[in-house]
Order: sequence, then structure tokens, then C-alpha cells
Amino acid sequence: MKSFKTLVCVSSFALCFGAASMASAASITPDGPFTTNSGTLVVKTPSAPGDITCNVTFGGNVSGGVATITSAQLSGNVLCSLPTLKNIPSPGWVLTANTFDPGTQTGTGTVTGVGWTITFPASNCGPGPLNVVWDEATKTLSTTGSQSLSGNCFVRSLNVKAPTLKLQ
Amino acid sequence: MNNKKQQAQALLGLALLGGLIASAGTVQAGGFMTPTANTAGWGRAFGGGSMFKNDPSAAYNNPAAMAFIDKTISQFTLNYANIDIKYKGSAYDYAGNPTSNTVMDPATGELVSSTPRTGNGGQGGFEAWVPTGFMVIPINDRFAFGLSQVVPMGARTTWDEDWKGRDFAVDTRIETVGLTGSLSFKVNDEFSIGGGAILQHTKGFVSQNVDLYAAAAQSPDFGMIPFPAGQGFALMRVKVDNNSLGWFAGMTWKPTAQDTLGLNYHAKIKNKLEGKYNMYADPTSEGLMTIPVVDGKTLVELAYPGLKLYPGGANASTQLDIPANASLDWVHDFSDRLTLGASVTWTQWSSFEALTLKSNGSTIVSIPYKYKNTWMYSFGGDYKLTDDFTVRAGVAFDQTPTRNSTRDPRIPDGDRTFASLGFGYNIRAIPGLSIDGAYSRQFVETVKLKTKNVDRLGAASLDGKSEAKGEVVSLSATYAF
Repeated sequence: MKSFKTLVCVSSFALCFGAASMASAASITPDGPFTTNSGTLVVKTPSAPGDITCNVTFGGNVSGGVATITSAQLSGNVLCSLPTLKNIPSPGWVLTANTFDPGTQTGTGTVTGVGWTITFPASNCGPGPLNVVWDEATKTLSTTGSQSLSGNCFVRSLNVKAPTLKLQ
Repeated sequence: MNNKKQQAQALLGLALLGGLIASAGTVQAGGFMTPTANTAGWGRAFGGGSMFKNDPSAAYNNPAAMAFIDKTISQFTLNYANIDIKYKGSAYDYAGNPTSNTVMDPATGELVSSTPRTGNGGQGGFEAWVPTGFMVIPINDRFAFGLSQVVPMGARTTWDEDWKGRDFAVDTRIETVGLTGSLSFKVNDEFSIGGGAILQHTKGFVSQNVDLYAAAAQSPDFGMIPFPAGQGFALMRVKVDNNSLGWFAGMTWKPTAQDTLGLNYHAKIKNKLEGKYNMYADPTSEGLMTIPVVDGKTLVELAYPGLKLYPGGANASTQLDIPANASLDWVHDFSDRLTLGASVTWTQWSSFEALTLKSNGSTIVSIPYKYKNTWMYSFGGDYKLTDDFTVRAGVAFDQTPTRNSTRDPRIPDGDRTFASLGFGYNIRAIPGLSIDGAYSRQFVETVKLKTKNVDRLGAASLDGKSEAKGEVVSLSATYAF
């Protein structure tokens, strides 16, 4: 039975991919500017011994299925005011949707160009990619697990809601 | 010839007094006060104060008693003090770990090593030579004039720079020298009053480490991030001085031919010390104070809004008032040979609430002390073995103004008991000249040093005790004209 399915799949690759994974290539809509609600970003940077938890609000623009983050406001304790974000506002952090599962209403994506610097004590983090997941039901963009960036830096977690965005 | 003799005498007297105008050390008593007794006073452990016959130290201690001095007397006193102070115990950083020398990897922000500091600071005491001098000049039957140079305030402790309690104190030096002028008025043969003024120069030097990372960890604005304590060093050094004016007054009553009672009051002297501070720091610690990171503000400013530290130096000021004190003295002649005296002294130490360092109007740090008022009780006397040779002895108990909750290594003071011996000798070969000697031993109560530092100094804590003892050797030369 399994070999039969494989055979059929080889003959019709696109159809089988969709049936086996229940996921498909995805895009972000609608085109135009967007702003997220305030969420949380937890990072580890050489400037400080522990994780730094900040509130974060992103803004940007969606075009051609890709969202470009061109503004990011960090708030919280004083340390949240220290980082200077790389690639913000230009060329921006680019959020590309990789997959979307209509059954679970979840998807995956990548944010590229993520990084920051701190003047003193010095940190030079990234830029690098950040793998993210999208929950269409709650409109939440988040990370799973700690992800490293160059410069001995980590993004421990990201969790932010973007009510106007839709993944499909 | 008579004129020349008078000139020579005056020259000798002024030389005795003028030799004193030099830098003065300290002879510690409670808090940062120092006894202003002469050698005879030290020999009696201050019992009876300046109420003994022809005691020129009345010029400062109770000017009213000058009224009963019938000849000009000049006196030079040199005190040698040797104070021994040791700390035994532990020191912890804000997180409760033993204070350590901590090294972080700047590339990762991770801990590389943490080596506990083991030094107890060495011998925190000091040796000092303290000159004082008094001169009383009867003007007529009613009035007498007095001059003195005294050291009414002083304290000194010196701990090793890298000791476990370096966040509390390294150096503390408070030195004063006061020049006084006073006048007495004899109301009648039994009663007199007197008063005077003191011009005092005070010098202060304090140093200590400031644990900037530990202080940052205490900052709510920084989100209480647990920066490891003990990183690098930032030795703050403050050097200040001031000239200040004060006044004192007294009265003397001789109710019987054998009794002399004295009451004196030395008013509080307001003393605002001004000067400079600087900070000797490692490059990273210096960067925390000097490198703007957000909106032109340094990390120190961000952690403690309004706090600006300038390692290269800036103005500094602090208020270190000399507390008011009052004494009641009683001297009784039991015979031609035996005279005993007793004294009670009250000092209003409660006026010293905190050591606050300011720079350009803003507070850098305020360390609470909340001293308490104190009493000192003393008893001593003279016994004339011959017409020319007198022996003395006395004991005194001096309460400490420090509190268990705020006592720190800067002034690790405890209640102290003075036990003294002394002598006086008239040198017949030079009529009018006499010498006095005294030895006084201080037994200082072992006291707890269990205190927590303020947040902006790193919030370290001490849990130990201070053991102290001291001795004073005093010599004086007195010339009666």
C-alpha cells in the first residue's frame, strides 16, 4: 500500500505533497502597512549576565506575500533602551511565510536580518535568521525555543500579536 | 632687666603655644570626638575636667575657671596615640555570596571566575602625634583671657584596599585643629562665668570601593538583573575641608573652700566640608560612568536617575557637624595633698544622622548612621607626694554613639573605658616650669559590625565584629609666669 502511494506521488508530486503534510506554501496578506500589538521579546546579550525581557511593538508593510518590519519599539526596563536594532528601518527585518496548515491554522516562517548592537558594555549580535511560527486563530507570531545569533547572542523568545495580518 | 625677663617669658610662652600650629592627628574617643584635655587631664582620665587649680586647659574646656588663675600660664602638650582596630568576620555581596573578585567574559557576558576575598583588612587603626596648647592671661582681678589650640574632632581608620569589606570603607581620616579665644569674668570669689569662640579647620578624606555592577543589580530601573558583584574596582576618594566658627561657655562655682563645681557647654558647630572627589577605576567600570549609551546618559545615570559620577574628579561636599556637648565637673580638695574630681559629659550625637556626599547639588550617596546621644563618666585625682611631685590616676567610661544596625568599618566604635596614670613635676631649676606625663589605656568593647550597605554602593553586608584597643602617652611642659 505504501509503495503504491509512493508511486502515485511520484507521478503527481504537487498533489501528494499537500496530502502527506497537510501544509502548503504560504503568503502573508493583506498588502499594506501593519502594526502589531505590544508583545514580549526576551534576549540574551553579552552586555548583561541574564536574559533581558522587553515589550516590543513592530510595524511595517506587507507586499507580495512578504512582511517587512521597518519599525520596532522596545520598552520595559532601562536595558531595553540600550540596543540599536540592525536593519531597522531599512532594509528591515523580512518575514517570509514558509508553510501554512489550514487544518491547524498554523504556519511557519523566517524573519531575516535580525540583529542589534549595544554601545557599552559592547554587544554585536547578528544579523541572522529567526525561525517563527504563526497561529492564525490568535494572530500570534512567536518563536519556539532559544535561537542563537552571531556574537554570543540569543533570542530566547518572541511573542507578539498582529491582528491585521493573515497567513494563507 | 625686668622688661627683658618679661619679654623672655612672653617669648617662651608664645613658643610653647605657637609650636602647636601644625597639622594635628587624632586621639579617638566616642564617635569622631577627641578629648581636649591636657596631660594632667589625661592622667586623671578627665575626672574633674579643668576645675583643678591653675589648669590652663580651662581656656577651652571651661573658660569660667580661668577667673581663678592668678598668673599667666602657657602650656604645650604632645599626645601620642596608638589605636589598634581589627575586623573579624564575613562580608557578603547583595546576593548573599561571600564578596569575591569576579571576572566576566566580555565576549559572552558569562562568568569566568569568582574568587572570594579573604582579607580582613589588616590593622585598621593608626598612630598619631597630636599637639595641643593652652594659655591663660589674667588681665586684672576680674577678667582673664585665654588662648588654645585643640583638636576637638578626629577619627581615622585604614583598611587594605582589596579587603572583603572594601565596599564599606578603605580610608577614613577626619582631622581638625581649632584655635580658640576666651574670656572669663569673676563675679565674686565664689562664682565666675566665661565664654569663647573657636575657629576650626577640618580636613576629611574618605575612600571606598563602589561595586557598580552590584549597585546596578539593585536598580529597579534595570529590572533587577542579577549582575555578578565584585567585578573590577571603582575606588571613590573624597577630599574635603572647611573652616568653621563655634562658641562655648561655662560657669564655675566654689561653694566651699574645698569644692569647685563647673558647668560648660560647647555649642554645635556647623561644618560643611567642600572639596573634590575622584574615582580610580578599571576601564570597564570607568565606562559605566562615562560612556553615554542612551540619550547622552551613562549606565550609572540610567540605573540611578540623577546620579552622575566623574572618575576624573568633580566637586564634593558633605556636612559633618561637631555635636554640642556639656559637662558637669566637680573637684574636691580632701587635704593639701589629695584632690579628687568627677565629671559627667553629655554629647548630642543625635545630630549626626547620616554621612551624605553631594556633588554640584545632587546627592551621590547618603549613608545612614543615626548616632545616639552619649554620656561619659569620669573620675580621677591628684596626690602630691612632695611639694614638687604629684601622681595622678583616673578611670572613665565613655558610651559609643554608634548603633548596632549602622555601625560600619569607617568608625567601628564601641563603649570604651579609659584607665590612666600620670605625674606632674615642678622643675625647681627653672622657676615656673613644670612637666607632666600621662599614660592612658583604652579598653574598647568588642562590637558587632552587622550592617547592609546602601543600594547604590552595592548592597553588600557585613557580619562580623570589631576588636579595638588604644593607648595614649601624653607629655606637657607648662610655664607659669
